[in-house]
Amino acid sequence: MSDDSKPILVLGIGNILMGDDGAGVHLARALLERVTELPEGTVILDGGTLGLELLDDVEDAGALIVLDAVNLGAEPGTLCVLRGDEISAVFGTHLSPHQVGVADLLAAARLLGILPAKVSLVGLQPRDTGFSLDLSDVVASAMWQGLEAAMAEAWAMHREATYA
Amino acid sequence: MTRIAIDPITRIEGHLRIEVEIENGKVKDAWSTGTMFRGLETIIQGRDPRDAWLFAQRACGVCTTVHALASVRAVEAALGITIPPNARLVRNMIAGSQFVHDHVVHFYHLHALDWVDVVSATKADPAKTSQLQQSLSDWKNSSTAYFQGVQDRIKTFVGSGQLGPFANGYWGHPAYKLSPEANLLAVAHYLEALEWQRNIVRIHAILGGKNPHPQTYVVGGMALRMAPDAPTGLNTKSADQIAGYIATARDFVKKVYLPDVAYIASQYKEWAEIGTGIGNYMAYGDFADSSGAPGSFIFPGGRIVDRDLSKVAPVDQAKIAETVAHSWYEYSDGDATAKHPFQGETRPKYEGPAPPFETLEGFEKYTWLKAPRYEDKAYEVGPLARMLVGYASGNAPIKAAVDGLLAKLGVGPAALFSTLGRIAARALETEILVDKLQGWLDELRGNMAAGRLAVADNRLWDPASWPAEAQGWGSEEAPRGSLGHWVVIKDRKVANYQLVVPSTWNGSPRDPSGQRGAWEQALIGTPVADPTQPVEILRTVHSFDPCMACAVHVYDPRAGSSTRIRVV
Repeated sequence: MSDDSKPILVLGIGNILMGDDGAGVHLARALLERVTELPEGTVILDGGTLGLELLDDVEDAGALIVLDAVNLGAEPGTLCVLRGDEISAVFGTHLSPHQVGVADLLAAARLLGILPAKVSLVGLQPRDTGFSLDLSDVVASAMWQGLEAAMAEAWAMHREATYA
Repeated sequence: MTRIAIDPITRIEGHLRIEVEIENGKVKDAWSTGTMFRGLETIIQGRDPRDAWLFAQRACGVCTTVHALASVRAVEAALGITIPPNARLVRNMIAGSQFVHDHVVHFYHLHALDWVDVVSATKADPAKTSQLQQSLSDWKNSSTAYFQGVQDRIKTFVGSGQLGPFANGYWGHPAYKLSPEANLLAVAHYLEALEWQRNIVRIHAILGGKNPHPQTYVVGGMALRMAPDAPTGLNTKSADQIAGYIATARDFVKKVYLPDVAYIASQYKEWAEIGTGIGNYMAYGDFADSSGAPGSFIFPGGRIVDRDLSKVAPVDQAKIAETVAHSWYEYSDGDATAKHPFQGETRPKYEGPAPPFETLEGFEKYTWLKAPRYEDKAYEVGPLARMLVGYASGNAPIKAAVDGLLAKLGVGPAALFSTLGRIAARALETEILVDKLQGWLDELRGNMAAGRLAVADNRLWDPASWPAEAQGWGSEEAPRGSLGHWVVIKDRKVANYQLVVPSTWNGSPRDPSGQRGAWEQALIGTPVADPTQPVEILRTVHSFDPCMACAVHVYDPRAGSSTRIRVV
């Protein structure tokens, strides 16, 4: 099956018990409520803190949008959108404490030759990642930007797949 | 004397810090620090005991399912419930397939890179790797073209400069001894195992409803539909699917995993004398066959004391107790008090330096792990303990497996007390369990065909039928070792709940009498060629397959490397 005939996967990543660390999952949940505004067939998945368990879902995707908390040293709540090689360039040298996190999921998918050609990362700069079920106010008020960015990525991917 | 700290130890689950003192190129002393507070016990207190497993299971995302099983067993023990044979079989299958998945993933994805130099694989002659593969087993992927293809993928990957999971290796370190051809073989299997592991866990999705964290446990058995034509759960069709997953798993374990372990061990024989550790080994025992009685355990319970394989001592859970003299907790009657888990307390009291810190040297308390002891003695738990207890008990399948590997390597049983012994034991027990899975499935199919469909005994489901007070111990052999949950029930609620997990036994700090935990003791004498690249320390620590309960994972691209090796 060609990438173009497979659905776009929107993958929210993070730990919702740890405040802003869960921003990606909160984004995915919010996006689920606006699923009718996304290209038809788009799959939204709460990836939680899983790693390599998500390989199957990545393989089934025609394009991938990862939603996550990303520490770029920016002001809390800052939105970042990275595409393709920009993602691995940022994460390439990083060692996550878990070691089998998203960076490794993406690298493993690439090694296995199952990573979709189009991958985007939509991230929000976290402020607090201590125990909390809530996002910090700055990240919460930046959520709409993350949502808009994720939808824009999905539609751009859809257009490229349809008209390329 | 050089003191170094590795924080965190990577390629494990969770947060672990190791500090060692190195003198004359060898580790002279070691301290193991769990840098994260678990606190699960306090969450479970006051809840309905029938719900405890749902919370307990979330202690970890890698050791999925194990805490659910220990928890329902603890409550069943407290209430005197015997589960029906089908529940025992389904639980064996979920736990057994968890072992097979976990051990293979540990070997290839968490441990192999301590022994395998990925970059060296790019220099291999694929034709020679093909010959090596064919000399090891009749595995299907053995052609020169196949290994050429893998090598091309690695070259592209390494050439991109973005190493991903390979980023933290000490490539080119003199401690790596495999030929480029063997390195290529191992990296090819690393990739194959990545594909393979996606299949075996589907057994959990069928029998447990989902993976990770199966949802079909219930106090009294399993909440699983079981009938030839059941719409979900175990039916004729899903049993066939499971049989397929087992066959694939067996093939990989026998033709790839075991031959790789034997070959790599043959190239690193000096590691059969390194990493010995405490020399006391304990297994609670698990995987009841047929009768369900402890006497039928596939992995027998017992203790080996001081490396003496001529006798096996029994395990009595009443003799287990924990102290917190060197842990960040306080006990109401003194931190050096040895408390049995039924009387256990979880009262965190952090007294370490404010993070980030350079060293924990000089701090009396240095970890979030308590110090469990059996009759005041430190023990190692895990695959090696299980194989040693089984071996010394004269258990036929374990004895045959162990003797077979020892003969192949040309070494005696003393070689088992080592870093290499742990790796070998893990592989051997994987083979024993992967062979059992099919038998359990056949029994379930037989029961299904005969109309014996009961999967739970719910006669004591109603709390009104319980005594006012009860307490129980749920014991289990989890992939990483002996796991115990202790529950005290008062007025139908959880009055106390304690977990003593395998990594608490193995990662334990010193106790009031100064006895080190298993990791600490095993590191002593480990050679370290270059303190800034302590791959040898990782070999011994990883040989235990540490698993610290986990959580935060915010990326910090500025850090470049979040593992800090500090010479302090």
